[in-house]
Amino acid sequence: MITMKPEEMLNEASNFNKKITEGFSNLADVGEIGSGVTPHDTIYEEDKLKLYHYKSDASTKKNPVPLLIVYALVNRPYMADIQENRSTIKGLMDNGQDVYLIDWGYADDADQYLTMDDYINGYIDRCVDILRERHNEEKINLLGICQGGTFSLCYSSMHPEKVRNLVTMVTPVDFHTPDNMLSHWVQNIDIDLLVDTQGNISGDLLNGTFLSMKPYELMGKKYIGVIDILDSPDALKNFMRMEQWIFDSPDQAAETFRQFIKDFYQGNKLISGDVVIGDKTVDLKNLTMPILNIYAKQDHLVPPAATTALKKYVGSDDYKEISFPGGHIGIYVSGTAQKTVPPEIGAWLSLR
Amino acid sequence: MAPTDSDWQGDWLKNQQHFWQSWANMAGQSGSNPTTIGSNPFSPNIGSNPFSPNIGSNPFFPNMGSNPFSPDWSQTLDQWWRLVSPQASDPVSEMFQRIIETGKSFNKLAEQGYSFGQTDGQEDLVQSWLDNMQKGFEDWSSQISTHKFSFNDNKDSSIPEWMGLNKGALEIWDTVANSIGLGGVPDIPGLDKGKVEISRLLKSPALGQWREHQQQLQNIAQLLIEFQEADQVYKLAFAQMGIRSIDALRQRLSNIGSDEEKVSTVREFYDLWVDVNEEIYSEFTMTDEYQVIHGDFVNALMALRKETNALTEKMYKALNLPTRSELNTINKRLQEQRRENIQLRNEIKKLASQIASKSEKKTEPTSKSQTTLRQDKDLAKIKGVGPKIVEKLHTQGIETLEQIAKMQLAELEKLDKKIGGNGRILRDQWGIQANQLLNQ
Repeated sequence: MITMKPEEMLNEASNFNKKITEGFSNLADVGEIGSGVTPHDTIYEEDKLKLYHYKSDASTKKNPVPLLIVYALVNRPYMADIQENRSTIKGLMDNGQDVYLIDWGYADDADQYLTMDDYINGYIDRCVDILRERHNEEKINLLGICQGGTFSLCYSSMHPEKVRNLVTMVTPVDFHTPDNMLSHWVQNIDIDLLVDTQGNISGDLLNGTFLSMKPYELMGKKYIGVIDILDSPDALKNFMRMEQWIFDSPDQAAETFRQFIKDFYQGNKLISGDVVIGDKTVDLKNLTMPILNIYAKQDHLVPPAATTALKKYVGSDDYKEISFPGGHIGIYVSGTAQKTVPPEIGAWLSLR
Repeated sequence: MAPTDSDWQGDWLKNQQHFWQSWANMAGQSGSNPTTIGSNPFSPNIGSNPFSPNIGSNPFFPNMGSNPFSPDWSQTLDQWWRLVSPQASDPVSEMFQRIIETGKSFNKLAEQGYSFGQTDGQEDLVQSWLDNMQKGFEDWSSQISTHKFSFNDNKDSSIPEWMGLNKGALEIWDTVANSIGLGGVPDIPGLDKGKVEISRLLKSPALGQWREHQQQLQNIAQLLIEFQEADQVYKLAFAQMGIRSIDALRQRLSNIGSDEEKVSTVREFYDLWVDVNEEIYSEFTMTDEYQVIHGDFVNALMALRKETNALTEKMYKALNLPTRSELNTINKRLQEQRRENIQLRNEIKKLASQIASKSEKKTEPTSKSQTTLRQDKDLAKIKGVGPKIVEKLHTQGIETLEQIAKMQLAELEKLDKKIGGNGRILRDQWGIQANQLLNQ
C-alpha cells in the first residue's frame, strides 16, 4: 500500500535534515578512534612489516604453541581488533592462545616488485622462524584471514614442516564458483596491461571495487541509516570505527597483485595445483596438518562455496568447517560471532 | 572583522529554524488549502535568509522544468555543509561528506515526491515520479547513443545529477576511472583539444623529423576514441539498467497491493528503491555482457594511459628529468638484489652453523687427547714412572694423580702387584708423592 502524503514528506525531510545538522556536533565530538585496542609489542620489523605480540595476562594459561595471524594485503588488520568487546584477537587470547600478527603496513611505489614469493617464502617464513625459535617449537599455529588465508594455504603447502595447525577464515580457494562477483568482473581485464600501466594497485581502486559490489547499500542506504544513530555517541563511535577501517586501504604491490589476479582469480590455479611461487609449486595435498576452515554464510566478497571447496583438495584427515550467519566483515564485528567464533578456534587449537 | 564560528552558526541555526518552520506551516496549510502553497511556497521570512533554497527550477530533475512547487532541500543541506565542514577534522569531514551526499539524494527523492504530490495530487505521486525517472534514463540513454566524440568535453554522456541514488553506483566507477588516470590525459602539443580535427590527425601521414612523435599522437588519438567508445557502452548499459530498475520497481509496487508491505514514508520508499536497484545491479553485473563491457572499459582506459605515460616520459627525458620507467628499473634491480642478499645471508648462516658443528666434532677428541697427555705427564712426575708404567697404570684404569693420592696402603699394594712393580710403589712412596705433586 502506498500512502505517502506530501505534507508528511515535508515533515520527514525537515526532520531528516534537522537530525543531520544537529548530529554533526556529536560526530565532531567522537574524538580519536584509534586503530586496534589490545596492547601489543612489536617484536620484529622488516621493511614496512611489523610483527606484533599481543600482551596477555601472565596468569592466563597459554597454549605453548604460538598462533600467528596472517592478514590480507587489503585493508588493515585492526578489523580483527576493532573494539574492546569486538576483538577476535582478544577472544583468541581469552581462549588460551598466545597471539602474534603480521601488520603489512602500507606498500608504496618502492615496493611494487614485491612478489608473492617475497611475501610468502620471505616475510611470512621469516616471521614463522622467529616464532619457532622464540618458543622453541618445531611447528607453530597459523591463522590466515581472507587473502591472508590464501597466503597461509600456500605457505603451509610449501613449508608443512613448520605448521602444526592451520586455521583459515573467509578464505577464497576455488575462485571460479558461479556466485563470485569479483572473479566474474576481472576475467576480461588485461591484468598485465593494468599492472604495467599502473604499477601498484591503489587502495582507492580496490576500495571502489569492493564498494561497487553493493553500491546502493554501501554508498547509499548505510549513510541514511547512520542518521538515526547520530544522537548516540557510542553507536556513532562504532560506526566511525568501521568507516575508518573501510576507507583505510593500502595500495597492493604490483607484482603480487599481478600473480594473485592472474593465477588465482583468472586461472584458478590453486585448486589445479599449478601455482608456482618462487621455485616451489603449491600443492594443497601437502596440507596434512589439522585444518579449521571458517566462513561467513552471507559473504558477498568470498562466497561460501569458494571457501568450502578446500576440503576436496587438502591431504588432511583432520578437517573441520565452522560457518557463521553473517557477512565477510560481520564475522569480526558481530557480537554473536565474537561470542562463538574465537572460543571455537581457541578450543580447537588447544586440543591439537 | 569576520564573524566568529559561534556567531555565524547561531545565526545560521536561527535561519534554519525559520526556514523549516515556514515549510512546516505551509504543510499545515496544505492539508486545508493546497492552493495557498501554490501561490506562496516560501514565507517572506525565508526571503531574507541567505541560504534560502533555489526555487523556480529544479536542476536535479530533467523533466520538471521550472516548477513553482519544487523545493530544493538537498541544496539547503549542501549549503549548510559548506559552512560547517571547515570546522570538522579530516576523518569526520570525509565521513560526513558521504552522509551529506547520501542525504542529498534522499532529499531529492523527497523533493521530487513532494513536487509531484503538489502538481499531480497524492494519488499519482509515485506514478509521476516513476514516469519521470524512466524518461530521464531514456533521454540519457539516447543522449549517450547519439553522442559524437569530441576532444572538448565529455559532458553529454556524463552522469546526470538527477539520478540521485543511481548516480552513486555509477560514480564509484567514475571515481575509479579518475583514480586510474581518466583525468590524466595531458595537454598534448599538436593535439590541442577542440582545435584539431581528430579524423584529419588520424589520416595525415606521419613524415619527416617528427614522424615518430606524430605517430605517437595518432596512436593516442585512436586510443582516446576507443576509450570514449568503451565509456559510452559502459554508461549506456547503466542507463538501460536504470530503465530496468524502474520496471522492477513498478512491478514491486504493484505487488505490494493492500497487504503487509506498506510504503508510507519517503524512507520506506527509499529503502525499497535501494533494494530493487541492488537486485537489478547484481543481476546485471553478473552477466557475460557486463563482464565484457567492464573489461573493455578498464582495458581501453589502461591502453590510453599507457600511451600517454610514454609521451609524458618523452617530455621528461627532453627536460633531463628522471622518469617512472627509470625508477622502476632501479626498484626492480634493488628488489632482485635484496632477494639475493637474503638468500646469501641464509646460505652464510647455514654454512656458519655447519662449520661450527664440524669444528666442535674436531675439537672434542683433540681436547680429550690433550687432557690425557697432560694427565700422562702428571703421572710421569712420580719418581720412577716412565711411559711403560704409565701404560700399565692405564690398563688398571689409573689416569690421574688424584686416583693414586686417594688410595689406601692396601690398594697401593694391590696395584703394585697388578703392574708387576715388585714393591716399588710402596718403596718409592707413590701415595705421598702424588699428594705432594697435587699440592704444588
